[in-house]
Amino acid sequence: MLAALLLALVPWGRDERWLAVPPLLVVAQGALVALNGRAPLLAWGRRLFWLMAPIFVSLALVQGLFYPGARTVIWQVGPLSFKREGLLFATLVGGRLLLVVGAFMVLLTTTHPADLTAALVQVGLPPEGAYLVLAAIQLLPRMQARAQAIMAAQQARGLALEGAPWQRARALLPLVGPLVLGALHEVDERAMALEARAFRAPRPKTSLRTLHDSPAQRLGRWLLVLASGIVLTATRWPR
Amino acid sequence: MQRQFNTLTLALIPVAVVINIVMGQIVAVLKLPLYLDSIGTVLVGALAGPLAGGITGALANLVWGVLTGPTIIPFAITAFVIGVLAGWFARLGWLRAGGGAAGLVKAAVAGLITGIVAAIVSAPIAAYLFGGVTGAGTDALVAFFQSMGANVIQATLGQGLVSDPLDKTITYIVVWLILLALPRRQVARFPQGEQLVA
Amino acid sequence: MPVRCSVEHLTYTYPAAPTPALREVAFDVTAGEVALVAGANGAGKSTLLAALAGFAPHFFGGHLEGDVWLDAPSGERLSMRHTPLAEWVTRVGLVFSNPFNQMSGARLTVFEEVAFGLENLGVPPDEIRRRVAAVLDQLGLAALADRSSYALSGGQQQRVAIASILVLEPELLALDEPTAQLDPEGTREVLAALEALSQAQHIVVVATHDLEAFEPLATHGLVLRDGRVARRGAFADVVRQPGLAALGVTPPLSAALESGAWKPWSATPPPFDLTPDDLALPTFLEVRVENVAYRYPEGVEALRSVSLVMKPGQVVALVGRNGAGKTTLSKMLIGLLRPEAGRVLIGEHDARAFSVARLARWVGYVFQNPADQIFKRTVWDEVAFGPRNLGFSPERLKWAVELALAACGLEGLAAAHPYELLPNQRRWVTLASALAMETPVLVLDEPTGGFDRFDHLRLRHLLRALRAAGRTLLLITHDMSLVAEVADQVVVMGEGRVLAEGTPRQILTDDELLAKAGLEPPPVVRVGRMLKLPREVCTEEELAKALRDRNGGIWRSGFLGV
Repeated sequence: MLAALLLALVPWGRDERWLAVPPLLVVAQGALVALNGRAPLLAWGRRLFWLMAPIFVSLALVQGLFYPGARTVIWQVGPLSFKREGLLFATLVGGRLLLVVGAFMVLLTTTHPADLTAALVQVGLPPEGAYLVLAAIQLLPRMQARAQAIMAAQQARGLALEGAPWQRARALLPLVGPLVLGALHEVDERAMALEARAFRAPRPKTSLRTLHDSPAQRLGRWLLVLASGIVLTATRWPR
Repeated sequence: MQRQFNTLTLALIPVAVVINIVMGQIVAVLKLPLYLDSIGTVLVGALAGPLAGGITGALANLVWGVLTGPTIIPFAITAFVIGVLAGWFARLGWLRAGGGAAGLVKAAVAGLITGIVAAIVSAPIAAYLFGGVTGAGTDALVAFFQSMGANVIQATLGQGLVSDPLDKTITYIVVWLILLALPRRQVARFPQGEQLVA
Repeated sequence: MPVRCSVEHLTYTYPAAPTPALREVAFDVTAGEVALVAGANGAGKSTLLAALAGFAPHFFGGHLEGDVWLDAPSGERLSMRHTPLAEWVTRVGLVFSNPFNQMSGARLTVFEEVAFGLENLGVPPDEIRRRVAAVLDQLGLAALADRSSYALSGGQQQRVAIASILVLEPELLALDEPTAQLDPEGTREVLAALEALSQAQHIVVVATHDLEAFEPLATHGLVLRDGRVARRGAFADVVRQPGLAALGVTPPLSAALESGAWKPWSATPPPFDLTPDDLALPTFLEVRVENVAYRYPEGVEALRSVSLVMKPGQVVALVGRNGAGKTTLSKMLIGLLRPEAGRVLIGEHDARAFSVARLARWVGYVFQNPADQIFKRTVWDEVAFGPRNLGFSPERLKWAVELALAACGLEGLAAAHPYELLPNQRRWVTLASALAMETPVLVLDEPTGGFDRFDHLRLRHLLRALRAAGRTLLLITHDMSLVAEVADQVVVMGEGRVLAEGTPRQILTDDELLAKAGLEPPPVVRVGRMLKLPREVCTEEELAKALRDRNGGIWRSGFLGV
């Protein structure tokens, strides 16, 4: 739960003086994950890297080379000229993004979705909302397996999945059709399973998963909100 | 949410969310230059109304973000808008199953409009949060528009307008064909079913 | 006063349906009784159970006359019609056949899944923990409490579904074909769980085609035909009455013999008018699997040096536990998986050299789940999809589709929507879809799910006709009676290897082998032993002959009990 609070740690600094902040804070996030052990830290780092690397490369190329109005060339590679304004913009956006994404990943690697939804229900999310999230997460593997089975079945009926673009486009409906029709057909039973367990009973529900929210955590949350407010004011105040 | 949705709609939403995600798998196998990741969203919008459609879209981005990485979560706003539009178009009768070529054209136009709106909604998100890039091949388009003198947001919008309308048009056509293939009795059980059977 | 459920003049019509699905159904069940509901597919079994549980009409809508009454232990008399569904489900629980769809999705572990209903009813957490633990114990699930309910076998998952309903402490538990989608081991698990329930003074109502398996539990029987009650009474009496076969019901074999009206299935003429000549093709192909090995990308070793020969005009049955490698092996025949070592020859062609879509000209494949392939608006178009992909001319297409529809009993349904058919008919659509492709080789993976007696007989006749026409047939199944009646060769698989190979007689009478492979001998073998026949019998024809030899053609009622 504490992890969620890191989201507040997003400084919206707008000039070069703030460039060093995001990396420092991301290291802080890493330290927080490490409290949960080495494996989560590695998982967090690896996922963060693979998620952000293509975006960084793309940012550097697109904005470094083509940032509108940029003139100051700082690095010339053959016909390509990287410009200062573009790279600065890329670094700012990239740093900000890294922080937000990093914070989200802290939340995801340390908190199980079930705990997260249970916590959200405790603070007022309708149980139906929690159901939607968890059911989707748990349905995914089964539906992926079905997609595989459908591809197998339709190929066995002579459907070619390779060939000219037109031919491949024609294979779309025989694959999407069974996926959707079959899934809609099952919706009835899934709805009945919910009804059979009194999910729509018009009375207050209880919950087995209760989460502890200590005074220290509450204090921490308020401090973070305060800190963000200060950062925001400090960076936006007239200079 | 408590009373807004009947149980059938409630059970439908997670299924549609997963259909959105799994579509990526199918499109990848077929090597088609499309996303088609709003098929479930448009379907729920059509069958169960704008709010259910919007929730499906937003939830799909949220769940996919939780499972892979949060970079797509901000686009939940776009996905929500797509679902709501689908619901409205269905109410207007633009997704009515049947009507031959005219029905198909109506669905396609609805898709085209949805695609344009989606591009307009996405552009500021992509520009401010991501500096216009997504780390995918379409970034080349952003670079192209910027080199032509566009600013970041214009370039992002340009990129969106090239890919989104086509993708959503095909999405709507596929959904229309699926609605056509569904048994009427099944369609009629959903809240907006009456608007869909010709 | 004991807890009792009375169904009174129940007539129910689905929304927009032209005729009622149930008409004037009436019966009583009392605590401690286990009532089996039997009848052909479409006779109204599922609808009756849905009505008991209040889903018809409270969930489906539609029109209800009559009512279901429950005399609660408190002395109240409750009306289904006038009780909201969320209340009624605490009185009558419903379990259906697909275990996966019954997992709510809202909870992660088995313990939480079972607790879900009680949470919804606002039961205090301490009481929830106590009641869930007790139910898990009762159904032998305690060891699985912390596992994900999605990472279980079918039998385990079905028991979790039963536990999830049972924890609400309903007076009546209605189970709609609870074993139809399970393998023999899963079926045994569920039967043991139900036995525990009936001893705990619940009312249990089970709709099933498998009277043989439920015989030890059943106290009462109800047979439906076209939504009406055709037979009703003590189970032992109902299954000994003549005429059940005509109702689409296969009574337990021993009971059928005692009724004196038993005939082997093959004495019933085929339900189609097709000769082997109609089904014959210009080409015959032999399939050879040579020392094939395969490992899944995740590292699971699925096949270790498997060899097998399938000849034209023969049915090879592939049997064994789930996960033994049967489906993996069969997928090699159509190129969906490529062997890591060894090779698969279709005729003289190495399967490796061809795409799946190309191999589909030679090998037809009927997959387990019809929903994984159906997408057209009419049965005719659905069946025509494969032949069209293969480029059949319009005349040949028409001929092939119509022949396949006739063979599968779908002639009258060509224009129907596949999803408006009954589940067993949808399975026939997939069979017809494969048949219409006119392939010399045909693979059938668990083709009998949800079949009634009529379906079983049709399939047996059809497989025999295809065999006589010279097709090469591979049958994957848990149904040992089907194996006994139609197979020429049985291959038993276990842990990716061939454990044994032989004729049905050799395999199905080898108790040690069957136990090792998680299988059970078919009823004919068991009854033959019970009768102490001079020679082991395997098929119904052999049983009939042995009985004729022994009794001079007469078997009397009650002779089994002697």
